[in-house]
Amino acid sequence: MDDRELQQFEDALRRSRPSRLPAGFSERVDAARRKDDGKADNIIDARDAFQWFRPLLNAAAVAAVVFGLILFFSPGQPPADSVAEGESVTNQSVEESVQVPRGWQPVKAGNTVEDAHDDGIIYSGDGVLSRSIRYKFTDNYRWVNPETGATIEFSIPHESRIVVPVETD
Amino acid sequence: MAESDPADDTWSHWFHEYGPRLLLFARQQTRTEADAQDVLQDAIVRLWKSNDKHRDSAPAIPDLPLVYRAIRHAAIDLGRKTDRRVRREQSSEYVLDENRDKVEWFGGSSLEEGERNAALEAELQKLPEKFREVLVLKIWGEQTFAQIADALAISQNTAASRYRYGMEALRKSLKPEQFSP
Repeated sequence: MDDRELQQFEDALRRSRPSRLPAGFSERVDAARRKDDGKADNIIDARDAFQWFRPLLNAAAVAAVVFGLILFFSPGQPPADSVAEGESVTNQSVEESVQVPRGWQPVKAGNTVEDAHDDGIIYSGDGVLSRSIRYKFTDNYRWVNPETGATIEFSIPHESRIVVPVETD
Repeated sequence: MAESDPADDTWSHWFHEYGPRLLLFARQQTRTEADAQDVLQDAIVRLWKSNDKHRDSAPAIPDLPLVYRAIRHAAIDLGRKTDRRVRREQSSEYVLDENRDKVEWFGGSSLEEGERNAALEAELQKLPEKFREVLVLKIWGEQTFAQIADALAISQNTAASRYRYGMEALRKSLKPEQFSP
């Protein structure tokens, strides 16, 4: 079938017209549309009724965020019983009070070897025969805030090249 | 006597003009006439609602390609629900009579037109759905291949090739004397 025949056949098919809408269908769709409009209006009205409450909610949310930030970043307070008011303080206790951890402190630092690759024999700068080995590490750290008990753990990948002199006879 | 809203008049006129072809497309996407009507209603209401969000004046008449796309999405949603319902009904030995609300796809006043349209509907129904929906959109929906591709989420080339396959299959199956130029 070429394009002309296709067009003629299409025109012939188009002579058949889609049947009319069933009786009452248009009214039914229109009613559904209006009903839906009504629902939307009611929702908007209900929202309007609580407009006065919104600034209060916003203010409460801002206050909560600020309070949380203050708690999170504030340094830890010394324990209440560490130095009692009016009590004589010895040098040792002063030292201890100075050493009392405040705020965040590191509690763990370590690394693990993830991979090692032997790059072979090289000549180092001073002409010494050496073996170059590349190590891939992951450094792991943990910090704790003793006042809040919060913990931060993080890992940093890094790569080192170690040059080992080769003994030759 | 209350005056009619001009926006309502526009809507009524638009739906009277395009409703039949929209319903014809909805019939291709659904199993029963009742489902087709539900899908078309759902699509119209959805589009109306989305238009309402962006307007301050009278409701806008939706673009035809948008309506076809909305019909398809509504049919997919309904299909998911119906599948669950049919499984539930089959498990309770409920027999679903899909032909109980059968209506003719094409209208005609004379006996000759009636026979012709019945033959066309019968042969259209035999076509695979993917061909049939493209034919309906192109011939009776008066959509371009770009618009068909958009509505059915296929490429324009796919739409064009499905149209050609569908037309050739339809031409072979229909009596030439009934559909001659």
